[in-house]
Amino acid sequence: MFSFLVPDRRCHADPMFWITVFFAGLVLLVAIIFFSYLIFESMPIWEQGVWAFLTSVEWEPAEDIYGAGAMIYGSFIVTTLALLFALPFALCGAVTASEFLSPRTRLVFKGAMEIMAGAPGVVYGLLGAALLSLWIKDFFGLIDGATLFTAGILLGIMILPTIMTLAEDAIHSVPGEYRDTALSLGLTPLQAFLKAVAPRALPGVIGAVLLGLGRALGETIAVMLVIGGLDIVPSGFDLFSPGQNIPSKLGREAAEAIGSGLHWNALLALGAVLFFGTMLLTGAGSWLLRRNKV
Amino acid sequence: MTQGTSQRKELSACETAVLIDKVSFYYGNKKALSDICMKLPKNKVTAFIGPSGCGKSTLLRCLNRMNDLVDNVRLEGTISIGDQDINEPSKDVSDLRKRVGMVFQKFNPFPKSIYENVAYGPRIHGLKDKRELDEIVERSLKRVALWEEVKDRVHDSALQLSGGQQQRLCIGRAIAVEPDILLMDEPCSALDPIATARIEELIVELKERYTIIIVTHNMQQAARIADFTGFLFMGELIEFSATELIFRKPKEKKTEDYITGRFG
Ligand SMILES: Nc1ncnc2c1ncn2[C@@H]1O[C@H](COP(=O)(O)OP(=O)(O)OP(=O)(O)O)[C@@H](O)[C@H]1O
Ligand SMILES: [Mg+2]
Repeated sequence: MFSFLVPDRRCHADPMFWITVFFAGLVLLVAIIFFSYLIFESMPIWEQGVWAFLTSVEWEPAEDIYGAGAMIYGSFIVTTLALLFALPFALCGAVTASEFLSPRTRLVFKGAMEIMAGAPGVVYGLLGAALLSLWIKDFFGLIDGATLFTAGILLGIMILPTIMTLAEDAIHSVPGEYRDTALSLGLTPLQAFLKAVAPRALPGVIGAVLLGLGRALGETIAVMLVIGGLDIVPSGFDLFSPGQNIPSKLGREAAEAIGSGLHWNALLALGAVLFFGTMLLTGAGSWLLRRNKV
Repeated sequence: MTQGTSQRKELSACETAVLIDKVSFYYGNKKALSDICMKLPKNKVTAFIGPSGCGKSTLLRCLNRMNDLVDNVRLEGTISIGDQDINEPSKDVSDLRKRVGMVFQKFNPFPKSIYENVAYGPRIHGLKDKRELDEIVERSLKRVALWEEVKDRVHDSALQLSGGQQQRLCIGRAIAVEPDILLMDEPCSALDPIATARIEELIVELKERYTIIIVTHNMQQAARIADFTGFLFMGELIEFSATELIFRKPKEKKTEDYITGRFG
């Protein structure tokens, strides 16, 4: 599966090999340029101290004090919540759709999932602000429904269809013979799924989860509408308190700070942190994949 | 290469491994098999031939209940292996499949090492002892004439093997769980002639230990390796007898038409 990573004399004669290398290089180059730009433009912030910026929770543009702690914390919490919420449903749904639904029902189900996966974030955000945050407020008896918890659940709902449909594709595309062979060796259908199908589908499923995570990490508008917009790490790490994550911070302040000044540098530094986080996740994902390969 | 032509072959003289009694099979409302009766002889190679869509695979897959998984299917009649009705509700499917192994058209080793492929079945069935597994792997690979070729690299990926080797590995994987019966659905149709010849040789060798039932599109192949041949047409068993009889003097007009290539 990862044979393209293994140097092989024969492919060097193949023009496809060089075309692939070219485009892969191009993508890498663009990524590097992006990242360097973010780092370079946010240099004034980093010069004040990397650790200080990452951990301080004070963000006072009026006094030119910038700390990313609250936003990093918020991003982490919200994404984790989203994943914890979405994963069980998404995986159960994917397995059910692929293994147990009739072909017709499966297509209807997939169609619905894909429409939901494609719905713009702002639609989720409006529904989240109008319904979800009220339900959460009433259910948990809160003063205000705009909390980190609300944002996490909303993001979970948003990425659920994406993860479900992509994971379903990965499971469904495992050739039937693997299932049949396992069954013909005397495995029960559940064993056959777990031992023969699931391992083959795993790389695709991890890819699906990463894609969902990427969306959760980067989603701006929907989160802005329900997260509460307070730059704090709540005392007692209370999930039912308003908070802030990186994209919602950027969305809120980019327009007023655009162009120059330390405020702008600080926002770009936040962008760099987000970018770095995403890369870290992707890297972790491919490491996982490689570890699971035969 | 016709094996044992001199030896008298009569169905009635053979011990029966599988008894198929008035079996009809439906996919939804579509009847795929109608009223099939046959006795598949023990330690012989039996071939199912017939035009595409006539029900060969369906019949084969009834024998290890692989059709159970398809939605909306129905089976009438009985199939017995050693006096036991395989479709009896109390019968354990996974136990049946241990006794009736299967090899598929597309050779499909798991993306694991050669060793792991062969050890897969026994392991799943709870065998943990390393020494015993080693023995099973060696014995199975020897039976499929692969041991000499791979003994130095049993822990390499199975996917590096050639197509013919992969198919032999799949046969080895099937026999590692010690079945009595081996079902093969067009096992050579994805192989080149040389690899095909080796598999055919192997099948003839294997019948000493196993009852082999093979589906093939290739009539020469049936003629070369099968002791008995059944000709299916539109879900019906038109004729079933010793291979020479089927190919030399078929009783039925339809069989003759098919053998002589007038259709299908
Ligand atoms: N899963 C299924 N659902 C519905 N109908 C099926 C299914 N599998 C097979 N059939 C139908 O049953 C009939 C017999 O199919 P089968 O696969 O047994 O034929 P075959 O003789 O093996 O053909 P081939 O030589 O092309 O492999 C065909 O008409 C086929 O369309
Ligand atoms: Mg077939």
